[in-house]
Amino acid sequence: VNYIGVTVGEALVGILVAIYVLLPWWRKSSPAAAAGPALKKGAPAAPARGGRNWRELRMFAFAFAVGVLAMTTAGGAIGYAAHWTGSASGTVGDWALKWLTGAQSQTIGRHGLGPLGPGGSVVLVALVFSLGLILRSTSNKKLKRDVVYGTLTGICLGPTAGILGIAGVVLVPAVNMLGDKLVGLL
Amino acid sequence: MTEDEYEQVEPVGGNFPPTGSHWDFRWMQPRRNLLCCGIALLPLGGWRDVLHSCAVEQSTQAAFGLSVMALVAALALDHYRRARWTRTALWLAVLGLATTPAALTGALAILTGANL
Repeated sequence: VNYIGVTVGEALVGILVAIYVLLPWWRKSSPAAAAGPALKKGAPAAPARGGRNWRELRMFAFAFAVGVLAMTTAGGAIGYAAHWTGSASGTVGDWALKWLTGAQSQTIGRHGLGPLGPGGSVVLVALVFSLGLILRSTSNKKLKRDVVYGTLTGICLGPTAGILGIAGVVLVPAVNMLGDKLVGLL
Repeated sequence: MTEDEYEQVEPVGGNFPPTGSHWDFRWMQPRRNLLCCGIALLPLGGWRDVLHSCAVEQSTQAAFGLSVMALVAALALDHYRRARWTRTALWLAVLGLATTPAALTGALAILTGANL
């Protein structure tokens, strides 16, 4: 069990990036927007086409999970890159917080977040590799943006305490278990 | 454009002709890679035995070093001479590194800091 130091500024950056991605999605995929402009002008309502389009968020969620897992590694190139990104985001966030409100930053890391085991690390390497393949294989800029922002959000919010960091508590044991099964096959 | 034609043209900088979907997997050359990966499975057991013997008689680091050297040599070979056997050798090196615990330990330690 380890402790990853996350500052308020880092969480702030993660929340802002998440809002930047999720707010346009929330507005665009609302039932009113999906029904088209006729509904807005007061014309007879078009038949509802279901709720929100959650599929649009799948790449963001996938990258978020990879970001969370990258923060829980013991070290190595992936862990170093994730911690460096988190640290840089924290510096920017803390500076913005101090400049805007005068507040001093404090650490809000989650105690008791289990580290990624050897099996989980194998899965993480595979996931990072697949993210690279996705970035290389698509020409959709929104998808690429979702991958980058999702990873950043995962790095910033994954190890935080409270409800924002719940993903790490759920993901790490699940990935460790899956990875151990895979490594057991070797 | 077929996969074979794609190999001959080799567009630079990802300037592929437009397709209907925003997904373009032709750069992976799936048919060629699947075939070479399948062929590489035949000598994989022998290569794994070599790496395992190296780990037992020398050390885990030696097995990792051997597999990395094989990977670099296969990469260089495939880069300079694009033949089916060079791609097969590359797959053999990759699969050997990924499926031999002694070699995988070193790779994992470098990438994530974990020890198998």
